Amino acid sequence: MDLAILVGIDFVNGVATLALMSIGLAVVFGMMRIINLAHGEFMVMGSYSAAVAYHHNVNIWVAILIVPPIAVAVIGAIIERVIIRRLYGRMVETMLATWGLSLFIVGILTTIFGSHTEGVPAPLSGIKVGNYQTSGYSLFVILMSVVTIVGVYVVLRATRLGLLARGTMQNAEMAAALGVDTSRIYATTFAFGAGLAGLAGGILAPISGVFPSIGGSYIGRAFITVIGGGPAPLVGTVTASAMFGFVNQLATFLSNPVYGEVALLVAAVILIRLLPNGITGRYFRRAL
Amino acid sequence: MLNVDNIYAGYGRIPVLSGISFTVTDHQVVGVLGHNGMGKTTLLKTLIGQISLTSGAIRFDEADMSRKSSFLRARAGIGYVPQGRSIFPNLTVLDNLRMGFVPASGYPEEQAIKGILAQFPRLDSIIDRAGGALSGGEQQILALARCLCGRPKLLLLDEPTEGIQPSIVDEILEILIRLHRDHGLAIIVVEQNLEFIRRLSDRVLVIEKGVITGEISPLALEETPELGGYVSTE
Repeated sequence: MDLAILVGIDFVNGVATLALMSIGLAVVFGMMRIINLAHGEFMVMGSYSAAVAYHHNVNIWVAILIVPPIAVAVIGAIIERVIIRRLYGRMVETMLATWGLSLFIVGILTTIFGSHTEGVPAPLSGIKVGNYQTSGYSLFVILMSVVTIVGVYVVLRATRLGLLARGTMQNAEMAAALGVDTSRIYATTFAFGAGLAGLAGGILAPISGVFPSIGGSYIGRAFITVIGGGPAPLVGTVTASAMFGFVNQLATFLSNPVYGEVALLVAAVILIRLLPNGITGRYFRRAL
Repeated sequence: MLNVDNIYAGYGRIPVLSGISFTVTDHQVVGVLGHNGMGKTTLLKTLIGQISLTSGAIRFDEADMSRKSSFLRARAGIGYVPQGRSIFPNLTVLDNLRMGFVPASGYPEEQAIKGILAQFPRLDSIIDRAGGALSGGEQQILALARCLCGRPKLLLLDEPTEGIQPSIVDEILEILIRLHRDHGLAIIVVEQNLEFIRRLSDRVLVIEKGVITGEISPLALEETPELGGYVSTE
């Protein structure tokens, strides 16, 4: 029974981590039709901002939960103004530009911090489950994933900013004709997605370590999840994370993490073959 | 209120408006007649800022709007109900109305929407329905109500009766006449329905090949049947 609980926590943690990694990318893609290939590096910047804050004696919870989303949202807003704004409606050019941006960010981070791994300690110790012990921080990651998704839902569904963003994404020209400053809405949405990436990076920093090139492993899984989820950012992220996270954890449990990654990719290929527009391109079409 | 001075505009290098000038005074309703492709819709899109001016000037309430963005024109008091209505299909009726609310109008959002629903009781019973699930007539009423949530001083209406059943056309006409009479709303209406334009307008402009070629009184529409040629479709 204890082992079953531990395995269950591992499964849920895999799903939650995938959802946390993907939600920022999903918001930017689902709301703005922009595939931000620098999303992984946005997460890395979140991780580094957490590490820097922690090493400057900022409280660990503030360092991983408050500093990263704010820092990366500000950087995201600047990047939107300087680069992304000129490329709206041009998906291929946006992908190329954000890919170049990701290389630039890796270079800058390597120059500043070097290529060694920065450490951020997990602020929670292990928890005993019967005769076994599990990471308390894994449970925290699950909790934060749920809180983040609920938070995004509340922002998009219950605030005026969320309403204006949803309307603008459906018909920007009409929204502008009704008095909505659509440039500001785009900038805010992109910064919001960047902030979510920063938050994910901050939360995952104690687990994955912090080094400049780790963004590559984030973006691959987040990209697969977002494409598999389809156009609805929240429902798409939750359903695709649940599916891919489960497959990944099951294969890992039955063999090892390498086969887990392979199983995730195979599941993604099959899903995209069956549902080219992703899960929410076929089901839950009007969902958020 | 609105002074349009020798404006030129078009799509890319294709000119559509070729030197249009007219004025709209406070509380006036101006109808615009013309064949398809003569520039009626382009005129309204240029006034709201969706199409840039090549040259000329647009002044609204003494302010130069010629280079201003669409959202600033809307905030200044120009409302726009486009052809095809452009309802936000995945937003509910209530959220569509909220999209039309302009915070700078000086009224709380709740009060503005309550006032609109009192004027459009038909929307009250479908308030939670998705915009995309409404009939054409309901969408037209919603588009008009949504625009009025921002309390515009000048309303630009592009073919409001297109594809709408006659009973709803009458309902829309009654609403517009009431808004004009009771609230002094100025309107520019592009329309193919001669009876609609005759009953609503104070004056009617005729547009041909991107130029205003004449002005006629609404009464003339009734007395001169050959004017129906201005609204014939291909």
